[in-house]
Amino acid sequence: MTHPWEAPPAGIPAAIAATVAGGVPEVTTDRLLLRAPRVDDFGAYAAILMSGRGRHMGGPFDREGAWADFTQAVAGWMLRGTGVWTIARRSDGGTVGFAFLWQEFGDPEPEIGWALTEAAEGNGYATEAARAVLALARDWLGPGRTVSYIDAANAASIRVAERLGARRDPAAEAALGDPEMTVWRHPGEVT
Amino acid sequence: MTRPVPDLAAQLPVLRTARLVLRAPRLEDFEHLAAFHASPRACWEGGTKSRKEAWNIWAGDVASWLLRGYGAFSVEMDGAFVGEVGLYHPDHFPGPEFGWMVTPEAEGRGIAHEAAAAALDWVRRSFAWPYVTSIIDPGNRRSIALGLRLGGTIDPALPGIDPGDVVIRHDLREVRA
Repeated sequence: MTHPWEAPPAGIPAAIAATVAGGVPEVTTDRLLLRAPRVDDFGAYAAILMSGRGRHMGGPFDREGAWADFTQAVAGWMLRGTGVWTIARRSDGGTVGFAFLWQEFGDPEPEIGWALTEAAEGNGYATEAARAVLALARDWLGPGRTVSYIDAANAASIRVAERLGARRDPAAEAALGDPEMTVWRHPGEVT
Repeated sequence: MTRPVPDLAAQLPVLRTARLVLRAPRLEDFEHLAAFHASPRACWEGGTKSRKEAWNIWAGDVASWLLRGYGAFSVEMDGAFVGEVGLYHPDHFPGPEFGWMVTPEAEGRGIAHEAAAAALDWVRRSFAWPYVTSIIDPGNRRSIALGLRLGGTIDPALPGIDPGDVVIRHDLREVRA
């Protein structure tokens, strides 16, 4: 069910929102456009987090929990200059998922993350989007300054991290102290 | 070499009064919000909250600027955070609410009034809304008094959130001298 507070703005507030969101850099890859998030992206976000895959993302989530997660990711743009992009497919504009460069509450380091809709999986979109985010992360935060926190049972995301050239970071994992969480450190160079 | 991260806060207005600067929220402001939500002062805002709960509330308020095109300003006096004022639109609210909070040190000095008057003027100038409401716990006499001092009127016909909420209506159509 969609809640009233998820309704997109109209008129003057919509124009101001677009101006503020204009500060989020758009990133284009071969097949994808990473763009600023909007309220009406939340339906896709909630669908991902409320699905079985939400278990790998700190869930399962109910819709209110997914909203808190979404707004935290969006707030990062205001507070840290990093946050969440909506990933659109360039061929048809369809939303395929979300890419993150964020630091969630309680996380020791900034993270590169990705989450795709169920329908978009299996096309290499996560790797393509995350590679573009990795290049920005290196520019903004410096080489080797980002990790991915991945549930040890999330084989699909671990494969993405490996394709990006990330390596397990045993010291960071020990510091985190969560046996179910793996920490993948991204390389200084983007390949 | 790194290059700077995007500065979205630069897109937000900065409002200045005789003593105060109303500016975009910054990460370090959160300490004050977490302290507020952990203190008995949060009794008018649904009770005390953990640091994580306070973060979720605040992050939602901050994200509002990007998602809805309005939000709350952090209030600074002599470079120090003294409170927050502006438009809030949390979960379970049907629309924007005009609200404010100040730190304990800032109370009793007219700071909340000075900040709220400037922010209400910004709302009046920026949005073509007929009115905006403040939704206040009936026990929060101080906030009710401030809402009335800003020129608002209690309107029992307008919806609150919790039973018994005092809803103050700020008319935005008339520009007062």
